[in-house]
Amino acid sequence: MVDREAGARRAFARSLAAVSDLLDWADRFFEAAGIPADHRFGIQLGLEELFTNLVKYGAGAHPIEIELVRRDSLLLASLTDQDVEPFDPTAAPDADTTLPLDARKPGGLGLHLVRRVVDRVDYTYENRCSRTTLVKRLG
Amino acid sequence: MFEISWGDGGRVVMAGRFDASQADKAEAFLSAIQASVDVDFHDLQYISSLGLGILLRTQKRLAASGATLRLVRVSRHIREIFRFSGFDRIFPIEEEASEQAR
Repeated sequence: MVDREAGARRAFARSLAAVSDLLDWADRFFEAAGIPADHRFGIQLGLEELFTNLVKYGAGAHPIEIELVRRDSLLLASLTDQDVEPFDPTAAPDADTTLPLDARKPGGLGLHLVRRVVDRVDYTYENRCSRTTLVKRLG
Repeated sequence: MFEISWGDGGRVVMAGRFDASQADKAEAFLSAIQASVDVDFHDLQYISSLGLGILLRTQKRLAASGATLRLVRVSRHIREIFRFSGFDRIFPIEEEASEQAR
């Protein structure tokens, strides 16, 4: 019997190389918390896209804190970046996916995808602390 | 873990988790391709926007000489990512045989 509530928290260095560790760590949490395989992909993709955005474009100097929580039929993943200017990923525009090959450019797809693979994206900014939370309904 | 290699019948085979930490490995392999080729996605479990960007760059380069990457044995959830991205207009995609029948 899986606990109704389970959680894990860890800080990751601001580096693209850390993405592999982050996703391995999330996999171990999903196993321990009994998250069905069908629901893992969206949260992992969301975590990677938001994490790499902070690494590439964020001006923060601290490691990025990640928290994963399973609460009843919800899976929540939050990324917290301390001592930074605000950046609201929920306000970023969608990519134009109707363009032909010669007009498409690599990039700009990350947040566009995140909005489509999770059920909700929340953003808060308080005391120079930027926090994005992804919510996935299980079942 | 992520692997990209030559498989049977001159296909490119991608397997595992194509995340941002694998960009250099994928880029190095794909940049050597000069002609049309099938890319076998059967064992690919995961791809993010970074992987999509690398595939897009390859497709653009090949298109200049009339060649194309074709994606085969693509699972349902990876196919969905290509659709959300509009990349199903840019890559010929063949789904897993077992999933076509469903």
